[in-house]
Amino acid sequence: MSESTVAIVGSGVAGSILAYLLTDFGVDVDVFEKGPDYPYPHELQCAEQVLYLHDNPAYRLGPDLKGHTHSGPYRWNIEKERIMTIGGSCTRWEGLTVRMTPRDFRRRSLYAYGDDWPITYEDLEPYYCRAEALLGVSGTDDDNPFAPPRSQPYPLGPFELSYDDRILGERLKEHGIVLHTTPQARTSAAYEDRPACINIATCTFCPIGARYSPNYHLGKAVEAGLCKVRSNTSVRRILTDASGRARALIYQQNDEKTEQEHAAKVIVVAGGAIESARLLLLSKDGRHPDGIGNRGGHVGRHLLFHHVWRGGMYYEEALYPGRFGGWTGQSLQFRDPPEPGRHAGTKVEFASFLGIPYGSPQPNKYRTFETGSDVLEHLQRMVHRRDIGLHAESVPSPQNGVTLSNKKDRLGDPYAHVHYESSPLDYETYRFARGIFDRFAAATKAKDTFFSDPDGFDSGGHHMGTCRMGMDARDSVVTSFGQVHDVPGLFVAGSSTFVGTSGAANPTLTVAALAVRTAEYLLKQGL
Amino acid sequence: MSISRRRFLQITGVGITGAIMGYGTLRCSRPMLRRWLTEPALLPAATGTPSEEILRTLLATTEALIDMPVEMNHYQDFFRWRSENVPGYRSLYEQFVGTVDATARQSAGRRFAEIQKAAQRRVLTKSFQVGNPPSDLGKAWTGLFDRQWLLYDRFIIREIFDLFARTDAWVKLGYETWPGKHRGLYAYTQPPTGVTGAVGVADDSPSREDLP
Repeated sequence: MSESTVAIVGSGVAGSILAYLLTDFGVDVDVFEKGPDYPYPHELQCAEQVLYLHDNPAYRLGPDLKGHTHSGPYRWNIEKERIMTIGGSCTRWEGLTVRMTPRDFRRRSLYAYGDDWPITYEDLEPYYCRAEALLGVSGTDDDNPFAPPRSQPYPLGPFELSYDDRILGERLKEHGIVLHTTPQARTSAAYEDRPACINIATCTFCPIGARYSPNYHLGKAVEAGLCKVRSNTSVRRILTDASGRARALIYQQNDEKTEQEHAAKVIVVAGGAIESARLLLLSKDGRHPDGIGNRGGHVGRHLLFHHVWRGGMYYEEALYPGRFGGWTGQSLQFRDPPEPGRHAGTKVEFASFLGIPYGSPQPNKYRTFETGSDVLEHLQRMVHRRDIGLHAESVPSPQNGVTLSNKKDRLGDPYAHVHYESSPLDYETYRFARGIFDRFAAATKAKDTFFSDPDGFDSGGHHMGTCRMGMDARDSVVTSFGQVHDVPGLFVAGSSTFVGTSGAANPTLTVAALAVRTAEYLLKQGL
Repeated sequence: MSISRRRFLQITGVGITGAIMGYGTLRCSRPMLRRWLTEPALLPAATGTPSEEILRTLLATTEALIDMPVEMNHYQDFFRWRSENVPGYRSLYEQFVGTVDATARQSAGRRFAEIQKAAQRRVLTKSFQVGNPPSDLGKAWTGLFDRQWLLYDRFIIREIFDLFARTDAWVKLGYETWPGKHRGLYAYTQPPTGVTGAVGVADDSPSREDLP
């Protein structure tokens, strides 16, 4: 049996930041990651994906290890929204780091939907600053009157708006709509030992580490000599002692036949919202017949997705989208609904692509082409197009959630079963978002448009809320510090602890801020 | 010939059960069958450095398909990398060379890389036919009897267009370069150099004072 002071399950942004901060204070940590190693900086992966159009299976788990079943009308492939490698989903993201607003934490009180968080924006604000410092966030609020208050400046100056953003921004301004720069975890100048962005590729696969990846801090934790990272290792259960305190976890290397035990003073479950709930549900024993932390029946419930409705607008003039790796402009003007109770708020993202999804090859797209001229004719129209995402908050439907599936993985453990469907309020939010899209199209003089239907949203890979925080076990799973109610020594970190709603902000910065807060709590408690 | 009532019921029962099972099997296996017919998988085979002949033929194929001047180095790099790193590609490339060379010899008496571009495109026409059959019957036929060309279409021809769309096409459309190459950090704030008639934008970004 192995042991460490802290065992962290999951090496994404929450797990890696926790590992880094704890080892920085001399605490020894073992990090368990179900997925394979994903070397950092991601130079090789970027070359494979961007230059050689190759989605390397070496960085993916097979369907006998990574899977789920699902029900409900959600159309997108949830499996493709979950990245299980060392570093987690933030090894392949665009780096948008938007804070939630003070009102996001009080949705029930102010707008009569969702639930209030047990903490306020003011509680979390200092941790947002520390998270921004860790991630190396570039940004400014000078052009954004809708940004929440901050006590520290951004660590780095902003990335300016792109050429196409500026053209459309001027037209929007004439109609009272603000398109402003976006904070992002990408270095506008050299930062610590990360180089400045030089706009090589797509931000999804940054080859030089300018865009933040959790592997950066995980590497530092390992360098400190106090962190052991176990890739390709599935954690199967959490064990408690006679007093009910979490004492160990049962893990198994993916290609081995036998399971092993790892003892730890503190265990932190830091997987995604689906996988974290699954592990708690799998951890049944006499004291926890429905899963650990599930006394109130809330583990797996309150599952939230962001609802991202996507559209496009075509213009007379060429806008040359796609000359920057990710996004430079967005609008936070519509994050708060104008009146309580009718619908939720939305963020507006101006995506700048040349009509070709980045990353994996899409040879099917080009099957009807017979010459290079055919391809150019197709793309010529895209040069005149701007993509737009209405990135809305949602409220959890009572039916939504994560339970255990009948289907099992290679090790014999049930996969997660995910049920997701929209609530009536979500459909009202769609109407609100559609109205904003139409305003944008009219204000920017779009010649032609297309927009998603109400059920055509994707989650943006933002799964939240299955182990939500709250005051006690009757209505939640963890405290605001992530400690599982009634289970000393067991914590949950990550977007699973979000409370419905999650606001329209991309969740990563909030995940990082909460992880910093949990690390500080653990250190103050002397673990 | 007469059969007993018992025998009749037995035969009817077996028939109905068989029909139900057959229908069920067909229903369940239809998506798999469809996928097998239309999306053939590349069989894993040893990786390795492609011969000069393979590269010459693949580059000739690229030139014939794209049909406009493009930078060829990165296509060569692409073919070489795939052959050396992705199981199955080297073998498929070899088979492709064998197929197009044989067709070229039949029609023009020379190897594919040595014939005129128009003649090369005629050889490659087969790919366009199998890649986009007009009907389900055509798809089934292709999947059964033109399977090798379906593999060429899926793993060579379409990838050439995909690579073109992500690289040289950008330059042809007026961009300085494409993702994967250093593009200059703040070049994106201005229209691409060399583009005439671009829309002008004010130099000042909106500021807090300007906002409603």
